[in-house]
Amino acid sequence: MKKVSEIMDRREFIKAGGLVGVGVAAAGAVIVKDRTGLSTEDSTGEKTAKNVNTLKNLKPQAGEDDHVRMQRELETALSKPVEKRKWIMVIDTRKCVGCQACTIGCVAENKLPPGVVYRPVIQREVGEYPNVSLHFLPRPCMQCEKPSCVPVCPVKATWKRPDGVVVIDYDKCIGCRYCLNACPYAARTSDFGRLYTSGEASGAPEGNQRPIFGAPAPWEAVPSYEYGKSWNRKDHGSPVGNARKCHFCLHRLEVGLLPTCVTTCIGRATYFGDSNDPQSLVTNLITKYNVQTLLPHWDNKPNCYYIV
Amino acid sequence: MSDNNRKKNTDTSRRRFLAGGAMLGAGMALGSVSATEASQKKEPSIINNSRPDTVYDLSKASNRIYTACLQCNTGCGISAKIKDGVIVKIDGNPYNPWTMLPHLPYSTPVDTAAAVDGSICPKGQAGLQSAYDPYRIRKALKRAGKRGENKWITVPFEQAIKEIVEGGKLFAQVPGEENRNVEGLDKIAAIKDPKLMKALSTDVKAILDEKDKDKKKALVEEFKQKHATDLDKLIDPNHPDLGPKNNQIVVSWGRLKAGRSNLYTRFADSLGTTNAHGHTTVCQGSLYFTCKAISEQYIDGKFTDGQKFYWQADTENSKFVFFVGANLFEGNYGPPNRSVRLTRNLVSGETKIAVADPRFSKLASKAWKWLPIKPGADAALASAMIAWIIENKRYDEKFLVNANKAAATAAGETSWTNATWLVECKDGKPGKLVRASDIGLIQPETRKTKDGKEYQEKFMVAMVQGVPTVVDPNDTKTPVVGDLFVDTKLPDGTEVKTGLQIVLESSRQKTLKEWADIAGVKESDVVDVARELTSYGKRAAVDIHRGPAQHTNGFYNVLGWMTINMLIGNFDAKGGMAKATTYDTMGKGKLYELGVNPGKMGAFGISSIRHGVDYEKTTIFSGYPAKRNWYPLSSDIYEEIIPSIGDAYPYPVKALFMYMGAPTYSLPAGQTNIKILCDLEKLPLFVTSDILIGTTSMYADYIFPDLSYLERWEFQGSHPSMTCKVQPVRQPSMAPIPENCKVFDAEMPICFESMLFGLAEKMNLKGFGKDAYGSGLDLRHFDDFYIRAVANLGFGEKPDGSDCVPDADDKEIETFVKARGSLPKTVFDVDRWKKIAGDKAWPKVVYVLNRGGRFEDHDKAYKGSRLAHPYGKLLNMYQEKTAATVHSGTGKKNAGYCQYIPIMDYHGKQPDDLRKGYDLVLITHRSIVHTKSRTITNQWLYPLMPENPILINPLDATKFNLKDGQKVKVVSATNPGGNWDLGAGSTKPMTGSLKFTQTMRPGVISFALGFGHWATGAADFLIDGVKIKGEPKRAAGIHANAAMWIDPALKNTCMLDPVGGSVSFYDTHVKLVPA
Amino acid sequence: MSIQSGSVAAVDHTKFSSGWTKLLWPVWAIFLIAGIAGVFMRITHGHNLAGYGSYVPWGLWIGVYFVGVGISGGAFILGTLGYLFGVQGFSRNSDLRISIILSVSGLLPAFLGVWLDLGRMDRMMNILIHPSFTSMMAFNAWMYNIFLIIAALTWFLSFRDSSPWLKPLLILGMFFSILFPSQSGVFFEAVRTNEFWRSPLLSMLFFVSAITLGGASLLFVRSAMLKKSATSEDLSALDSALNILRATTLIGLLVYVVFEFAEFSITFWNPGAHSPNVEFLLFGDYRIVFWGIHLGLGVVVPFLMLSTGNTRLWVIASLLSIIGFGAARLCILIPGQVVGQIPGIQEAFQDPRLSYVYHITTMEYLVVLLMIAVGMTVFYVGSLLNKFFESSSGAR
Ligand SMILES: Nc1nc2c(c(=O)[nH]1)N[C@H]1C(S)=C(S)[C@@H](COP(=O)(O)OP(=O)(O)OC[C@H]3O[C@@H](n4cnc5c(=O)[nH]c(N)nc54)[C@H](O)[C@@H]3O)O[C@H]1N2
Ligand SMILES: Nc1nc2c(c(=O)[nH]1)N[C@H]1C(S)=C(S)[C@@H](COP(=O)(O)OP(=O)(O)OC[C@H]3O[C@@H](n4cnc5c(=O)[nH]c(N)nc54)[C@H](O)[C@@H]3O)O[C@H]1N2
Ligand code: SF4
Ligand code: SF4
Ligand code: SF4
Ligand code: SF4
Ligand code: SF4
Ligand SMILES: [Mo]
Repeated sequence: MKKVSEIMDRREFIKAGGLVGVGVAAAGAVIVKDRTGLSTEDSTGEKTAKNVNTLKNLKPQAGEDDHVRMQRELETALSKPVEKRKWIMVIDTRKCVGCQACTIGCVAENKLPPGVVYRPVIQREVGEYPNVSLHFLPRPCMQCEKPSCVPVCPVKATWKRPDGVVVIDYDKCIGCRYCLNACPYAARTSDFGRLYTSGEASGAPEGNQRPIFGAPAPWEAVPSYEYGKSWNRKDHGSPVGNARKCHFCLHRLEVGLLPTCVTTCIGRATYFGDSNDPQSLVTNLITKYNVQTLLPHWDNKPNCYYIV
Repeated sequence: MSDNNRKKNTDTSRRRFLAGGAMLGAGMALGSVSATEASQKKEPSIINNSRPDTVYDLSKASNRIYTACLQCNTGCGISAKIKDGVIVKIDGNPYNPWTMLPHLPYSTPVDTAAAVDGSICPKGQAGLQSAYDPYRIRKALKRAGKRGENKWITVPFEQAIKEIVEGGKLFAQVPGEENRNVEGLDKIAAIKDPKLMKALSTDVKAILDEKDKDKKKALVEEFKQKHATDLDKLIDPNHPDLGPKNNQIVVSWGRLKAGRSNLYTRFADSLGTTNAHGHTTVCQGSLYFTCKAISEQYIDGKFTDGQKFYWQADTENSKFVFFVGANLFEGNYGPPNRSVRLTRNLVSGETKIAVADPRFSKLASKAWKWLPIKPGADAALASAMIAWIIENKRYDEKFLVNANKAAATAAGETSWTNATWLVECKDGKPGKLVRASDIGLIQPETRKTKDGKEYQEKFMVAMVQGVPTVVDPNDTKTPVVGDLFVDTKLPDGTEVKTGLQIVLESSRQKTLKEWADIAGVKESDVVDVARELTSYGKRAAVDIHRGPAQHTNGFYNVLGWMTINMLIGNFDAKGGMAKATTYDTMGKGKLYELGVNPGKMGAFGISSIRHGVDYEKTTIFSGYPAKRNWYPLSSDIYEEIIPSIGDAYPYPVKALFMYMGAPTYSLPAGQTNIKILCDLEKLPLFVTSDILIGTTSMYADYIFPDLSYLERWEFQGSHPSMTCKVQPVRQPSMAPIPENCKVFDAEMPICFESMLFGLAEKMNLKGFGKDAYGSGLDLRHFDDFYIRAVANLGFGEKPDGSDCVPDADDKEIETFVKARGSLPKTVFDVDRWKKIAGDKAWPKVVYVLNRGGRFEDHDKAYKGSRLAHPYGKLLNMYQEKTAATVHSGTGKKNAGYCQYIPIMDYHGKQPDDLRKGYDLVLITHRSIVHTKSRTITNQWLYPLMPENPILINPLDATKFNLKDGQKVKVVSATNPGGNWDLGAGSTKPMTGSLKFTQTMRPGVISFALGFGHWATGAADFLIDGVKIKGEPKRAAGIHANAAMWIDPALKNTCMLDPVGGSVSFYDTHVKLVPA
Repeated sequence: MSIQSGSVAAVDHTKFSSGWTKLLWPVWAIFLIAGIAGVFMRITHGHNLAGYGSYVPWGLWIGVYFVGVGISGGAFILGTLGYLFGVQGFSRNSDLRISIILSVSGLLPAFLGVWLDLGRMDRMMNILIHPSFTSMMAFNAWMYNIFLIIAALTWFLSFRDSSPWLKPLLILGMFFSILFPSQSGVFFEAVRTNEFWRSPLLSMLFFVSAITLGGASLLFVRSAMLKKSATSEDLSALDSALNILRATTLIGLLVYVVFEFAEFSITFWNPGAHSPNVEFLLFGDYRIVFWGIHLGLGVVVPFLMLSTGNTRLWVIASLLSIIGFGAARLCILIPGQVVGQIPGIQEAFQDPRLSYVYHITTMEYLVVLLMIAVGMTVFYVGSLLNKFFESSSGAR
């Protein structure tokens, strides 16, 4: 074995030191850069304020459905620049009847394939006969204030928007599923490219004279509107292979509609709105009630609150 | 301000349009729009990347059609959202009160409403998968193997029609049927002349009405002589009351709604058969028929005009509701409309609920109290509460004392009961109501009936402060306020009691403790609930559904609960008991009178399910027990349709039509029906209408493809808990899947209507085709009926047209046409529609259809503390009519008041033998995920519940040494093998996996409805020799109906309620055998 | 047990030079064919034949990937250290090249594994083009690629006599090869919402396993590369190398186990900390993998074998310890994923891909065979190139 001084000469030593130094510095620099400025290309400012005003011709009614009230508030929020709104969801589990309309509404709205779900409703049974009870817990994406899913993404395919919604750009996502592992709420699922009707009615004749309709069903080929774009899963098009998650139905919000899981909530257990608006129903709820969040110990700071 | 907004709005949409255009052009001419211009015009994207933005067109009025869901019978208003001609999403119709509370005002412009989505359940959303099911049939299918073998050939529509009408050796290619001759409809419908029908019918009526046996015989002989030339047209000349051979065509259905029902009964009327039977008794029959008995009106001296309907709580406004065997959040009528009327009030403390159910339902999870009642003991629990309420004087005295309409009106009520009327009791047994003129209180009065005949009015009697007083029930001038509790003898010695007294005595047959023990609940809970129930005045209710109704004692269970409601006096009160109110479509306002049928035959004769007639009156009366049960009070006895054919009682049936029903699957012991359907001798011809090869249609000789609920017309009607007046319209919303056919020269998709029209055309039935609705008003295309019906709906019920809807403006009409852009001419043709409607009615038709029906605004449903659409009539706490009927299995009179009766078979025997060794009570329930035999086709629903477990309390599991998740077979005394016998040699074991849960009452197990299929795409089948594979997911889970008891006395059908007609769903005892 | 050099002086070359390496050809062929079948399944069926899904997003391939990365880093570190310090058996440029080639043949199949694991294989390059360095994955990817360049450069320079850049580059390479295996641990640690992974010990575990894997794999390939025609100089170099590698492996195994004990003892001795993950691993479904494959087959057995003087057993031991580390990777990977934090979520929406149960499928195994076959190919081709350039340039 050589002594250390025999290993390299001085010049080699300096070179080695230099190379390693540059390496460390570069690594440090890129990390710091990406940590501090989670730079996104989101538009902000006045140009993002919208005047949708779809309900201007809707006569106010006594005791209006909360859905209408929230939709009016949504329009108000949209009239502000995007960075001034903060979308939150409040779920009143006392009103949730465990119907899963929200789950399927979301599947339908976003054309989710088998194995992909944005908002399952968890049912739990507690107690012993006859002192038993059932609890229902819908679980959308929490749109965390400190999303643990975002920093792990190697390709900047997912980020937090100025209005608080954590989004995924399917066109960037490489499908590494790192974010799936990083979300403690299991809010992200992967689109493995499956179809609901494949395998059904196999063997059935095709053509105009066919005796039965046959698969695949036409609804399955329809693109989704997520993020205000058209996503056609045909031929392995995105979002096949991508991570997918609830996005608070941004494509609906932006045209003045409430998220589907809200509009279809038959128990009126799901509230949605702008927590920056002190008048909004959601602000009211989170200040009036003792709201809780899921897994608070991770400090993800969810923007989905539960009234229990 | 608003102008400004509008400007900005159009700017926005222009920008969006440009963005869309840019998207289209992007590939070809990127350079044509300068970059800066584009970036200025472009609205900021949600995600900035190279993929172009797209327009969210699902929120446009022109991309949707409002229609009505039929994924379950709740029939919520839906909005079918269309993209590129395909329904891609279904949401709630915000005009429709099922999906919003309050729903949008009817006058809301369609563009505005388009931005609002109503709420519906998961099945409703998945409904497009029922419509686009890969297994949907497109052509008429004809059986090519044994019944149940699932081998088919496709046949042209005309051929199927011709064969069914003309008969012949239709199945000569099927081995074993080479020489079997099938009688065609044309021959079976022997009488074609309505005049002859009328003549025969009149004489038969006389025979039935004759009480004396010998005279009856003589009348029959007389009849035979008089009609000697036509006797060959009767089923049995010796029993002319069986009616004409036409009755050997039975027309039946499962889920049938108005519109289609009008056409179906028109068809039956034109055929001249009396046999048109629905499925009510498999559903909640005894709820309907008990309420029918309660609602019988004293008209023209007799009890008549009882409505087949029922009441539910005005959930939205009740302060306390006791839900009994009602599964609001999972089933019922139904989750979207009832949940929203409850959850807010529950949370605010405005409303409190209690639940009685052997199973801790999702509803129970929101309840203040859960009473885990023993199945079948509802009347015991009700009796306990009745006793407590009366003894503690917590009934609504001011309501109950009103003996007639005048008294009710004076008390500010709209309805009244006969609680104070005196009932004659012989040997302590209550019988007829005392008639004032019979006891000399008053002279009979000669009055005229509705149709102008004279009759003697005898009047009722009530005690007014101990004095017998004449009661004219419907009198609006002289109020009679009666004594509630009377037990006395009249001067002539007749023992009399008030109805309420009888009810009280019935409830006192046992002590509170004893009742509670029978019901398996705590006495203190009974008292607590009874106290709550009577603590909120009229804003409290008992809301019941299948749980109490579907037992052999269903009629009296229901009567018990409804009696409590009468004690609360909550009928017609805001927050009390409500009934459904719908807008007319058949021409009340005389725009188009669609009830007119020039081809009506005036069918007569005993119905094949023996309903609406007293056994004793018939010529086939042969003592007790009768071979099968008779139903003087009920109808639509589903469990009798096919088994009666099996027994050829009262007569053999030659052809059966089944529309949208699956009795083999849905009935308890449905396997009994399979056996009969497979028997060519007993049922020579079986024709079905279905959208696919279903669990019952797979046994048919012919299946006509149908339009699914998203492709067709219907009028959904309403439910009792819906307090505003409505009429949701189901209308074509997508291009039909079945291929086209031609009837009456009109091109139509093959469907239920075209099947009827085709048969009618071939048979020359006058009720169809040219001038079917009177001269110049044809019925060639189904539009001829539906468009006129919608026109009626828009026109309103007043002949002067004063309650019509507004006209749609041009813009709305344009939207209307645009939204239907993807519908072919066979189902939508503006010009045709407009012509049928007439120029004046057309804009109203559009207005109605653009809103998915007609809906009264929310605030119109109430007038102060009362319902705006009250029932407003007599309620029979004591039912004289019921008390006059005889149980044909025992020969005993039925009781006319609520009482507890144990579970019994048709011969009145308690099924102790069947229970021995079978220690678990089998019940069944709905999960929100599935509807009966229909929704298993919906792929989105698989992940919510891939199969249904057998729910069991761990205590029972320990007792019987069972493990969680274990596969077990359900076995009962009447199905010891635990198998479904599917006919044609195949069986399906009734196995499921156990799920331990604390939500089941120990000793009771349950399974959710909707699984364990053997058709509906679950199994392979052959069409034209090509094998089409089934989807195993659809066969998953268990359907344990085949374990449910076969009535030991009847032997080929399930146990049943001899009075209300209900089938028994929750009485069977089973055991679980490890599989 | 002794691991001093004295007891192992006499390496019996005859025993393993007797052509066992010929076995590698059929093994390679079988792995390649089976592996191609696996990839075919992967391409035609997407991920649907795999056992992982959305709740257990990563499976066997990711475990094997980390083995490859470990081999790569470890081999480079050991080779470089030996080279720089002039350790006999490592000091010649040809010795160095074996390590470099091995390092690369560990890394490339690892890439293959993750590439096949991606949902969008077509966008693989995004990770280099649009990286986010907050993600350890992107960071690693860059490091690997820089490392690959360095490896290529050092390999290239090793054919030149006394390049002034060789050693500095080797040091830079070593820097990376220390960094990336230990950062592989951070790959998991960085998932801050995962109780099981959130241990700073993971990087140490990964680093130690890299060194051990490097030792074991070098042990394996160097014994495989023994020629009948070897000169005595070669033989003594080999003797020395094998002994050092054997010692490295032995110590590595020991240290790994110690770290592992430290890791679990925290949860073990903290009565309040009920860890379903650890339970799953130690006493639950994974107990066979942990106790049997990782500790038994992967540590105890090789440890005993390496403690003997039987060189043939060393070869087997080296293979076993590599397999054992594969199991060890799964013992970190899988328990960290199978415990959902939202109880009842599996039942809420049921699908085979939405399950917290993970079973390796045939397709996954087959693809791993391809990864091995590719590794073998890279190494073989690398050795041929070595030989070609050595003979053509006359380099040592
Ligand atoms: N999801 C869904 N919804 C539906 C339908 C569907 O198929 N699926 N079908 C529609 C139709 S047609 C109908 S009729 C309605 C039915 O609506 P419901 O009658 O409200 O629904 P079921 O689940 O049949 O309710 C029966 C309840 O009675 C309980 N029960 C059983 N035995 C007894 C008993 O002896 N006493 C009492 N008190 N309770 C008992 C059961 O546990 C169950 O909770 O639902 C409608 N809505
Ligand atoms: N175990 C158990 N069994 C039950 C119940 C329960 O709670 N538990 N509930 C009972 C109740 S409440 C009811 S109402 C009955 C209902 O029982 P049924 O009235 O017999 O009706 P469905 O099961 O709805 O069957 C309808 C059939 O019609 C066919 N069909 C479906 N869609 C269409 C269509 O659009 N057009 C036509 N022409 N045909 C169509 C399909 O073949 C389907 O099988 O089930 C009862 N069965
Ligand atoms: S819930 Fe999960 S996916 Fe959603 S933002 Fe939080 S960490 Fe990310
Ligand atoms: S799966 Fe997609 S979004 Fe998630 S971390 Fe990987 S690249 Fe990013
Ligand atoms: S907000 Fe939209 S994406 Fe999120 S769960 Fe609800 S419906 Fe799904
Ligand atoms: S739709 Fe509403 S009530 Fe139904 S499960 Fe979802 S949150 Fe609960
Ligand atoms: S409750 Fe019934 S009718 Fe209403 S949306 Fe659901 S399935 Fe359709
Ligand atoms: Mo029903």
